[in-house]
Amino acid sequence: MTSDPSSSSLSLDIEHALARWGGIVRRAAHRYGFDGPDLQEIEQDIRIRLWRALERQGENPKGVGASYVQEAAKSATIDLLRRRRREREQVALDQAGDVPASSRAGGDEEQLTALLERAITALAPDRRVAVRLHLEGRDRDDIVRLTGWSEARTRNLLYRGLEDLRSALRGEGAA
Amino acid sequence: MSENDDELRARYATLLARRAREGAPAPATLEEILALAESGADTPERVARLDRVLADPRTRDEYRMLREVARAEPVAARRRAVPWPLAAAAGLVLVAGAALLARAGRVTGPDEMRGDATSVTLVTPAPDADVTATTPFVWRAVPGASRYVVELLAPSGEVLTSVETSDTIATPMASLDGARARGARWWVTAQLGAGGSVRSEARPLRTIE
Repeated sequence: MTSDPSSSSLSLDIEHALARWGGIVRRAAHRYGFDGPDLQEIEQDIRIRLWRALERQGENPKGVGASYVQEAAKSATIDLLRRRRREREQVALDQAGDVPASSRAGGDEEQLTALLERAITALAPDRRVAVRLHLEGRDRDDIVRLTGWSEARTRNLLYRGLEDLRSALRGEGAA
Repeated sequence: MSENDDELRARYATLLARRAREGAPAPATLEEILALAESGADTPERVARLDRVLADPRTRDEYRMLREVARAEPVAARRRAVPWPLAAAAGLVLVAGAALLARAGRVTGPDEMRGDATSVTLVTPAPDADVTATTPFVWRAVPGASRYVVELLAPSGEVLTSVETSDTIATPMASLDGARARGARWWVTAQLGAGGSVRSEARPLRTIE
């Protein structure tokens, strides 16, 4: 095998898989706010990773399945997110100390937010996860998808969790 | 749910925004978040990690993106199979129609229906088209050919089925289990009347079981 990741060396199935996974990563990045000019190169990035992995393992590029491409896509996504973390940290460093006083919460608001944080922290962990997602505006189907829990379990955790949360806030005189 | 919920949500959004501004180190590495996104386990450890990741808006969005990539199907979803009586009826109509066209050559001209004597040109199914037991396989006639052999080949090269005909149409999938044809390719060999033979390219198939 050569080190040239040219498309002619991969099967038609793998070329289709590369295009498909490039699209999946691009759409997800757009949906969750990880856009950037480097996303245009994501398909090529996946191709190079696939090629290197095959080379390391001595596999014939014509014989690989689409699941190899998925592994390469996951690896490319991790690196994309790592770049975004670095960019974000740089922006945070540049803006350190620049937060205007007007953007800070006022006294009452600050207290209520702290109260909510304490009440959420006091929940049982699985109820806490369900409540967090609910408070973000996720519906039950979304929670099922994100956690892998059954619909019945999700419904139960959400019901009990919100009940516990309201009870805790009432106890503090905040609800 | 209610106005109460709206108020709670607004306060929770404030809480998350504050956490994002604090600039504390992320509560999990990307590799840990990927492992969480891939895992189907429902253990207390996983729930605790999930809670930490979802409590921080930065890692929450990373988790969502990685879960979407990790949980996508490795291969594109196939088209839903047509109920077999309908597929069989459609297949019969196609076989009959294609056979008539191939014999009479009334609709398409001779250049479109006839190949040359140096190779066999495959017509349908197209590469990676979905095929069923009744799908007609069609190729162009080769001048001087007396018979044709259609073969379906496993990825290993093993011949899964072989059909011989003097026509330019056959239904080789009829005698084959769809599951066995996964990843198969097909080709046609023309036996020339003067001796010798010519063969088509091997074309990939996608079977609907």
